[in-house]
Amino acid sequence: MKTLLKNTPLVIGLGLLALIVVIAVFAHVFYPVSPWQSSAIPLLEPFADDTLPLGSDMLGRDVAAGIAYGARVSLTVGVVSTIISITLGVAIGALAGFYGGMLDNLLMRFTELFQTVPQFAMAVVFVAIFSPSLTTIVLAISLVSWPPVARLVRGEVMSLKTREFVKAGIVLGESEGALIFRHILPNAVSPIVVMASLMVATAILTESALSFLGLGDRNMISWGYMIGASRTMLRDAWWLSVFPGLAIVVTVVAVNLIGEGFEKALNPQAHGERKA
Amino acid sequence: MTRHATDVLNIGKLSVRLPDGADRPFAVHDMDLTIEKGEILCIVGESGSGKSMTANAVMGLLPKSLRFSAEHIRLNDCNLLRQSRSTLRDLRGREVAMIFQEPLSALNPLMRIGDQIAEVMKVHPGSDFTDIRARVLQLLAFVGLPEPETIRSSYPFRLSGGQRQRVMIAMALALEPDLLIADEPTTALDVTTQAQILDLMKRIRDEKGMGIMMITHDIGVVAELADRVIVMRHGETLEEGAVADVLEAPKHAYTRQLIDAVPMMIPKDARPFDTPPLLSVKNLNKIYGKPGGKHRAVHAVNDVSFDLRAGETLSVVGESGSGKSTVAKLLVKLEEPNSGQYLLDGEDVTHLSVRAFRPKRRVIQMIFQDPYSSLNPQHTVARSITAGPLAAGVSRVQAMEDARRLISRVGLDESALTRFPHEFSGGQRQRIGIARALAMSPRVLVADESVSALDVSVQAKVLDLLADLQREYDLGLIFITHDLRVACQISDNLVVMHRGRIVERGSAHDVLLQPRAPYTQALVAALPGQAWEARREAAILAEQRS
Repeated sequence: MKTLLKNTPLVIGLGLLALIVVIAVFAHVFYPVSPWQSSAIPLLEPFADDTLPLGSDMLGRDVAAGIAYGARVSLTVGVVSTIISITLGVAIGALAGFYGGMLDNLLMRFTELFQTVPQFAMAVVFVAIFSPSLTTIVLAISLVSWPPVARLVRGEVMSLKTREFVKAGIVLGESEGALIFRHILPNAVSPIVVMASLMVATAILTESALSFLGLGDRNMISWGYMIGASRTMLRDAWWLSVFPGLAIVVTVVAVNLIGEGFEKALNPQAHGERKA
Repeated sequence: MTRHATDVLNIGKLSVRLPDGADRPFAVHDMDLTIEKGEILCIVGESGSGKSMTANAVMGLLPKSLRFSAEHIRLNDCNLLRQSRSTLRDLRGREVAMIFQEPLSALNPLMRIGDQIAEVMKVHPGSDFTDIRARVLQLLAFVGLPEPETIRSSYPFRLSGGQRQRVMIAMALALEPDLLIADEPTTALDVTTQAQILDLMKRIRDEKGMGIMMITHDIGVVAELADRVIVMRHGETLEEGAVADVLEAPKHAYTRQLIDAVPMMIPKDARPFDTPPLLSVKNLNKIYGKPGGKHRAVHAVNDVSFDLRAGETLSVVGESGSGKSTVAKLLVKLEEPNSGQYLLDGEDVTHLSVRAFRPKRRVIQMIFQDPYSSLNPQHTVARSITAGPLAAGVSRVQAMEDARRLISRVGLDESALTRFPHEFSGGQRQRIGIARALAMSPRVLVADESVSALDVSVQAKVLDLLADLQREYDLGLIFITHDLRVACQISDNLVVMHRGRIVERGSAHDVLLQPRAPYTQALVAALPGQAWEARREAAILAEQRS
């Protein structure tokens, strides 16, 4: 526990993320009025009015409220799509790495199919084909982000498979499921956790980019949408894009810090804290 | 300590301090040491004795986190403690050189052998060798490499382990240093290769008059090579003296213990086994890679046949690449044979599928080589031991009860069950591995190099445990090893493998004392320290007679 507190990136990252989570969860308490509702004169500058600290947009909507409600979308997309793509990636990677041979070949060629198309372009196409909604966005992001997980897990499984304790499991007559779930995957958790935390950040960025292009969920305000909607006013009303932009930066930095912190905690050798 | 004009190295009161929180304050404590010209000093000790630290201190290779102090470290007339870093750098290679345990990783794989040796001469400008190429060839010839011209332009991967170690020695000799430090230089090598390298070291001492500091854990190597010996334990020098004095009249109890732990080449008396075989393989073949395929096919196991009966220990002996470990894998079905027949407990299991063989796994269990990777680091000892029985349908209560009984039977405390593998030493982990295998109540145990990673005193205890358990449970034991001494101590019968084939078989007595196959003869002849061994056996026999 003490060593965890000394882990500066993890502490700062978790602190920032906790703040964002609180804002997202209690958005309706802080801002009972819908973020789509006009609540002031249009284009109110930030810090001019105490009730609207971040100003208002061209329709008089509260920017701060937008950011608070937008956090919900960003966090949901980040967490859910990461869970889906990790599950998919671990399953495919574990099967390919454990069984090898034909199955490995098939699954890896399938993975390459996804890797050869640029990720973002594929996400755009997917969302555009199905109508843009939170579900399709989450699915699209999951669909384009699992291949690196599958590759990582496959490599880990292939190397763990040759370790003697796995051989011992075989000799003791343990089933293949037991070998994979009790012996191999638990020992591959640390790189997967590190990768997952970094994927959350990428997913948030991808969602913002999709919303910026107008492919966001029309019913929910999101940071990317706010930037996209105000891009024409960038010179006249800088605050409309800068504050959502800052929100994205802070969230992504927080998540990246957590990822870095995990890596430091799970893999101390790589950071010069070697036990002599 | 008195200093002679012929001293190459003289160390006074060397101490290496370990970081706070280590299990002891010093890695090396108050060590004095001298090496004369033309002398081989062996520093012998088990792992953690501080023997390698001593060598690294002389070379300035200690990790920065370790502080060391000494009155002096004098190389010829130069006190290394007072020299600048650049002077030290120049001295390394020129006056003192070092060879390491792993010749495989000590050479740059992307550089030709000749260039690597030449580099030593190039980084020390002002060396007397004008014709570097001729010097490289001369060195390669001196260390006994065939066709120096070809070797010079080869890349390291073309060379065997023994050849690479010779190249390392050639590099070390390039500038004719006065002192050669060798840290376990033969530990990773086969016994026949080891014998050649030891001969080479003697030749270096005699022809070049160099002082050699040899770090080793192997008493046989000490007996074969050393002029003087220092025995270390836990960083303390326990005993020092001429090799004959120390080995034949050790003053310290620990030295005695080290020597006694070396298995003697006195085989067990042959016993008749007339029960039907528990396990029988006939004309087993295993080929890696497709014959006629892109890569060279390796005939790892070639027409191997043997029987094993209850209560019998059969050792499979061979050097690396002999196919002995593949035999072990075939027996526990981690690999499938290409052809042949495998009968286990009277049933033909050759072609059983993984699933169909699973119930038969209780009959045959394995003890693995590496005590550090053979236990799942995330599982408690209890979980590791009970996993097999639980998978075979034993109730949890019963499995735990068995685990408690077995863990005490292999000499560990019951509290070990709730702990994790990293809390145990190598020897203790190997005991856990044995308990795990026994939990299945097997009738056959396959031990694949199961004691080769252990210190010799620990090794002796684990071997005793295995022998006891075998008697207790009337187990058939297949013991895979490269170590003839260990094989001799434990086996009833022996098969010797060479390049996938069995070249000799018979009782331990016949195979080891009257080997017929030329390969077995070479193996036996390559054992280090035979003269000492013979004296030791004679002394013990004399003692028994009186």
